[in-house]
Amino acid sequence: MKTNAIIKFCLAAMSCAMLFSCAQKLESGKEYPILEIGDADVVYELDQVMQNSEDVKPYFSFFNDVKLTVSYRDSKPDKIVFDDSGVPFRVTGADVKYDGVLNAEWEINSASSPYEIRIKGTETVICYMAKDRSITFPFKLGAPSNQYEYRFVVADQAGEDAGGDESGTSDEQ
Amino acid sequence: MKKYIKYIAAVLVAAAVAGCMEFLSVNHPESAPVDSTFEASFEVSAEVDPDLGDTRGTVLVGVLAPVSWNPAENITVTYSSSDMPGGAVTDAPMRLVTDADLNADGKTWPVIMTERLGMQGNYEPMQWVAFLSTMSHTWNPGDKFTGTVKVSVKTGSENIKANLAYFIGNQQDGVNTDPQYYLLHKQPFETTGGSNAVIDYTLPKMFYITPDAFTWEDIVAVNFDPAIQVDGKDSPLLGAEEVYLMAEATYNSGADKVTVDEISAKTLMMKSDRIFKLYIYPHEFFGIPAGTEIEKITFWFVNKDKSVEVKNPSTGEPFTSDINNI
Repeated sequence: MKTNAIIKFCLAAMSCAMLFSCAQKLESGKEYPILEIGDADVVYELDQVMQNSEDVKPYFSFFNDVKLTVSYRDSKPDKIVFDDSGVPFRVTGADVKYDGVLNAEWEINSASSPYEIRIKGTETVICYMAKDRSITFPFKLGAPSNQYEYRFVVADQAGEDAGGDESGTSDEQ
Repeated sequence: MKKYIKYIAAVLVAAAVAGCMEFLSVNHPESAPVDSTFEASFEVSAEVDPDLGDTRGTVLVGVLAPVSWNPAENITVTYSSSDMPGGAVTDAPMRLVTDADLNADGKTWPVIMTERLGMQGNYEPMQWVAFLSTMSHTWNPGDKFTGTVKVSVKTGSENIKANLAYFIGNQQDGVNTDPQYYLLHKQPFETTGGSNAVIDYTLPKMFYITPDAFTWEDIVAVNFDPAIQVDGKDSPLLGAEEVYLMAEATYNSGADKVTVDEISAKTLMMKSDRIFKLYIYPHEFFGIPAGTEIEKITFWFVNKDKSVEVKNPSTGEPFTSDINNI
C-alpha cells in the first residue's frame, strides 16, 4: 500500500514535470503582462551577472552599486537611466552614447520576445525586458564564445523570484 | 502495484524510442603520427520521431579537437547513405559553419556544443568545430535510414594524448538538451613521433583557467589544485588553509609590467573542496585601463607569510596559460 502511494506520487510528479515543460514553451509567446504602469520610476537592482551559465556577481564588489531606473510618464515609457558606478567594462553596445551613465528616452518593441527596450525613435536596442519585468543586458568581453548578461530585477526582489508586484516602484502621482 | 510498474515501463519505453539514432559501427584509429592525416568513419542508423509533426533534413556534425591542430582548417567531413529518403548520396561534402549559422538559442554551433557537450575530460585547449550538409534532404516523421559519416583530420606537430569527440545529429534538433536526438562518440587518441614529451590533455592540472575559452579581456577564474602530485610528490601547499594568488601582467608590447604580490583579501583564493579559486577581471585586478591589451599574465601561489611558493614544477617559472579565443 505504501509502495503504491509512492508510485502514485512519482507519477503525479512526472505529470507535473511534463505540464511544466509545456507551460515553459507557452511562455515563449508574446502574452506579456501590461507594462505601462502609470507615472512611476521603477528602481532595479543588479541581481546576477551571468558568464555563460555561472553567476559571477558575488566575486566582484564593483558590481554592487550598479543602478538602473526605468521611468514611465502618462502610462508610457519615458526615461531609462543606467549607471555602471565604475564597473571596468561597458555593457551597452558601441552604438549607444555612453560614458558610464546612460540617460535616454526609451520605447518598447513588443513585437519581439523578450521585449526590446530601444532608444526612442531609433532601432538601437539597449536591453531586454522579460514577462516578469526583469531586464537583461547581454554583452561580450573577450572570447566570442563567452556570453555575458546583466540581470536586473525590481528592487527588493534581488535574489528572489522577480514577480509582478509593484515593489521598488516609486509612484509620483 | 503491477499496473503502475507496467505504466512506468511503458512511459520509459516510449521515451526511449521517441527519437532514435544509434552507432552501427565506429572506425577510428587510437593513434596517428604527428603532422599526418587520419580518417575516421561512423556508420549510423536514424529514425525520425514518428510523432514529430515536422521534417528534418540537414546533417550536423561536430568535432572536438585540440586547438593546436587548427581544426577549422584541417578537418573535413563527408557523409553517404544508400537508403536516405529522397535518394542515395555518396561522399556528400559538408561545409564548416560560420558565425551566421545560429542555433535556436541564437548561438553559434561551436558555442552551443561547448556549452552542452563540454570538453570531454580534456584540460588543455580544445575546440568544437561544426559542419553542416550543403545538400537539402527531407526526412519525414517515421523515416528510417542508415548512413556513414567520414571525418578526415590532420594532426598537429606535438605528441599529445587527448579525448577527441564527435557529434552527429541534425540542424533542426541541434544539440538538444535531450540527448536522444543526436549521437556523441568520445575517442581517446594519441599522436606519436614528435620531438616533445607527450602532453596529456586528460590529466587534471595543478593550475588552470576557466572558462575553457577566454582572453585576458574576459572575467576568468584562476584555479589551483594542490592535491595534484608532480613526479609523485605532493605540492608544498597541500593542506594549506589559505592560498594567495600572485600574478604579473605584461602589456604595451612587453615594455610594461604590473605585479600584484600583496597578501590581502584581493589575492586570497576561495577554497572549494580541494581547489583554490580566484575570479579576476584582469584589467581591474592589475589596474590596467580597459582598451589596453594585456599580452601575457603569469601566476604563482603562496601561503600567508610567503614562506611557501608554488610555481610551474616543469619549468620552475610562474604558470602561464595561452588564451583560447574560441
